[in-house]
Amino acid sequence: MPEDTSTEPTRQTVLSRRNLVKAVGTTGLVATAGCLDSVSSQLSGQQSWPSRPVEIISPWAAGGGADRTSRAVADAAENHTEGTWNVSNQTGGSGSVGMNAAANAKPDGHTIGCMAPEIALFEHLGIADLSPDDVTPLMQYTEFPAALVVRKDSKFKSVDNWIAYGQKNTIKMANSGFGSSWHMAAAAIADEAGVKVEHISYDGAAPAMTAVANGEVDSTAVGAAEVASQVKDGNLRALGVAFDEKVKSLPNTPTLANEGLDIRIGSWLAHFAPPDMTESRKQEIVDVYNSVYEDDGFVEFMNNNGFIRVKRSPKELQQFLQEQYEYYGNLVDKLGISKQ
Amino acid sequence: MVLDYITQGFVNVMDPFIIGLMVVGIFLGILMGSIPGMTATMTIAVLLSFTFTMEPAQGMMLLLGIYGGAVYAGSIPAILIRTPGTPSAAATIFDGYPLSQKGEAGRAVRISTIASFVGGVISVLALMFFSPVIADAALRFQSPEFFALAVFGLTIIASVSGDSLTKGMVSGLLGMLVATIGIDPITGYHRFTFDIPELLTGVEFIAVMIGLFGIAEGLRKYAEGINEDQDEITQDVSGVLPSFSDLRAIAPVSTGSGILGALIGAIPGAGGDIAAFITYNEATRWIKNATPSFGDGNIRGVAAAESGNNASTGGALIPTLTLGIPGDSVSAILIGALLVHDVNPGPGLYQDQPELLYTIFVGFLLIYVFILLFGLLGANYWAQVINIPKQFIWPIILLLTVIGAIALRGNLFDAWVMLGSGVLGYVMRLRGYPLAPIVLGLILSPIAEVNLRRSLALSNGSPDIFLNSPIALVILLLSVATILIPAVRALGE
Amino acid sequence: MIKQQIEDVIKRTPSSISSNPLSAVFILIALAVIYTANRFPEKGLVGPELFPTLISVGIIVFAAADILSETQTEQELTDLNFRPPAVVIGLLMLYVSLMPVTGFLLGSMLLLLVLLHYSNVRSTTLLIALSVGFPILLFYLFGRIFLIRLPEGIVPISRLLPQLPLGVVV
Repeated sequence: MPEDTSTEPTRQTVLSRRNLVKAVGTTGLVATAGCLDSVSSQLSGQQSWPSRPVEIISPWAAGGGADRTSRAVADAAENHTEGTWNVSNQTGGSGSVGMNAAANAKPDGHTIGCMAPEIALFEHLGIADLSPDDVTPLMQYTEFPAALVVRKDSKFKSVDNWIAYGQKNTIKMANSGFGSSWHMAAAAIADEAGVKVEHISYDGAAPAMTAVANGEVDSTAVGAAEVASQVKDGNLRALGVAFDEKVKSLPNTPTLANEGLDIRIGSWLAHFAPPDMTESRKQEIVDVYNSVYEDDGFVEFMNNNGFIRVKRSPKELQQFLQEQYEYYGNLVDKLGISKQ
Repeated sequence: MVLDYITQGFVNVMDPFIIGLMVVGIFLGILMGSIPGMTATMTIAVLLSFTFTMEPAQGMMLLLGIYGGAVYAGSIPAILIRTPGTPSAAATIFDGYPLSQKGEAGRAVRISTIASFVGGVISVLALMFFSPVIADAALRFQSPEFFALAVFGLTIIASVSGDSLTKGMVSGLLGMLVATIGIDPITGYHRFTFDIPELLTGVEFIAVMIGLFGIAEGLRKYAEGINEDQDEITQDVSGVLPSFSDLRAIAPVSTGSGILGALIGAIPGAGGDIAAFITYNEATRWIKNATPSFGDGNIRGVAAAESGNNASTGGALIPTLTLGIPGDSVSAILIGALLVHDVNPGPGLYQDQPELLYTIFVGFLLIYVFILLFGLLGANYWAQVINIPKQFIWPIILLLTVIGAIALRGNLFDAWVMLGSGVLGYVMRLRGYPLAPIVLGLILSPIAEVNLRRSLALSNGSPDIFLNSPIALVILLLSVATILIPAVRALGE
Repeated sequence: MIKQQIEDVIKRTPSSISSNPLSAVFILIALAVIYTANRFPEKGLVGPELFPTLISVGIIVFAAADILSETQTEQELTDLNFRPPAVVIGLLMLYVSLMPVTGFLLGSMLLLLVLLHYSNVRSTTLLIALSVGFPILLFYLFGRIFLIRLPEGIVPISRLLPQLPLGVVV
């Protein structure tokens, strides 16, 4: 069962200027010291890991969730390995370009990929020839539960209202991109509730939320953390969260399960290595990831940024990916948007 | 009450560390903004993690410094080498480059600096005093309104087509056609992707833009003879301040463009590029009998575009801070920078943390004061860049454009797109096709298409959805007028 | 009068097309797009084929109008020498296509060396200083500070460059 630390209290940290300079200075020293080492081992072809900077490829643009959390992992990993960790962005193809680049890298542990539910969707939607079978899962470190969101002054005051209306009428439901995991989340919630839904695609979560706020559509399913500030004092209301328990960012919102919809869906992020990696190298990396997951700096980053820490070990992740692949396959069929 | 906050904000900003951060941010922004392909969004995203350890106001000053600096600096290569540094500066080429051809690059950069300052300050003032009203109006923009806005933007093709309207239309439509490549956002169908994964999310329009302008211009220079001094222009590098008559000439157009640019910037999804094209177009419509005419190096053209795009920066912060809805891609990252510190952008911010808010406002104003200062002091140095022999400068610019293209998505594919666009741009220019309409088509066509189809999906196919929206109706009528009035006038003559 | 004009246009057309090959190419592309777009699976009221089709029709109309209204049949192209731009674009294409092999650093050094030499820079000191120094500067700025994925090549010589004490720079 994945661990969930969403109920931990936030600790707001404001580091002093001196600490920043100190932190920056140390990074510099470590980086310079580490370099000679890595050069020599690089040239001699030594099999130690890491023998040069480890690169995490974020398949989405800098500043997004995948990028920011990967940077946090990289920062923390530097505390637990000798050597630097970098994050680069290779975007495009709904994330498939960057994931493909990582999956096709040398399996020596110096290139690590970042994946999301999309990897279980690419084949179904005909976006790329990339499936969970093409990667070596390392660790899942976060999950983004979906929140069912409506306008604040909407007629839907509860999930029950929403279902009752949707069983007789068609609900217009925004999603943050055609074929994205949020489109799937919306479809899955609608399916579970047995309501009729017309899916309207927008270019990102923000336009989808805006469309709900200005009444263009009736509801949407977006990440709970993303919608939190607009629920707190904006124009939106969250009816329920598709998670096992209440989430910190939406403290007054019940779970969908509590409202009679037994569903846990949304998005997640995990890191992976290329396939065909030796068992011992994989174990080395997984050990580092286990330390990263408990690293104080990483935990603090996740808490401060509203990312829920959810862990799946390589084995659990492998099985989870297979389930996701089948689950999304069914969903895509039901939606009638499978590969043309 | 508000005045107290402003005073307090001013006191907070007067901190050497904060001022240092602003200056560093502005310099980084100017550096990256002046390199075609390096965007403000990318720079800010990469430096975001450095702000996690700072206090919110400090981090915001670094990031806003980059933002303002980059949007301002995009105009510099537009003026000097006919290549916009950022998409926002595409409209600055029209009059900026002819000016530098006349040996007045220094004057053009100075005008651009002043106009950027005016636009920036107007937008920050709008942010300070009219945020709630403007944000409320911006939120009313639904799919029909966005469609109307994009159509209105596309009518600009006519006025930036130069001598040949037919060639301009072909250019604009080509840009629109290229923009249809990729996964159809409504049905998910793969349009013209030829099974190339890089094409699924469409052609990277900045790569096309760098190619059309940067590479094509470089090839032209080589065709003319790279080591011949045949068109060596001596740049006038005297003085720091623009002349009083220049200032008087651009004051009204900078102010008007600033107001319009801030309003457009406040609409989520409409950024500096659209703002600059629209403000430039409005300037050409309102100013009759301009001498020299627009497109031949009129300083008021530079002022209109630059005031418009810099005004969109403050405008974009209006929905960001008042509603928590990002106004453009940069402000989406700024939201992340605030959330790290448990500061939730949204209406509550005005009650919970007014001091932080006004510190940011005053700081952003100060950033524009610094940009004014650095811009005026630096104008002559920039102008001298063109005096470096072409045989040195063009190999380096060509190398930079390739890196810029690779940097967009970390992919060599975009370098190929850029080189291809470069050849196309070169050939089209030889044949007298204007290139700016291609950029307009690329930017606006996806907005027009998606919002038209989404509107019709929402209305079950009924066009009434456009008639029922007063905003959309007014903008659409304006678009029709923009096309018909010059046509009728031309027929009358 | 009008008849005269039409005859003029018809008489002019073949030569106009040859003097305006670009418009003709655009018309051909537009026709290909219309053909492809109308084989898209039809979906909904306004499907994915609508915009490409409309845009292509527009291109055909305006490009045809352009061909017919072309008064200036001969453009002043004789002044221009087409060899240099062809060489330069060729070099750039070679540079990009070889980059997976040479890597960014070595490739850029070679490109600058050749391009500067082709641009008649003859001072050996300047040639070497610029073509070695500038790529290294760019590599640090973009590869190391901004972490842009620049290709490494089969011999990753860029890994030999010392790491930056990053914090001090930024």
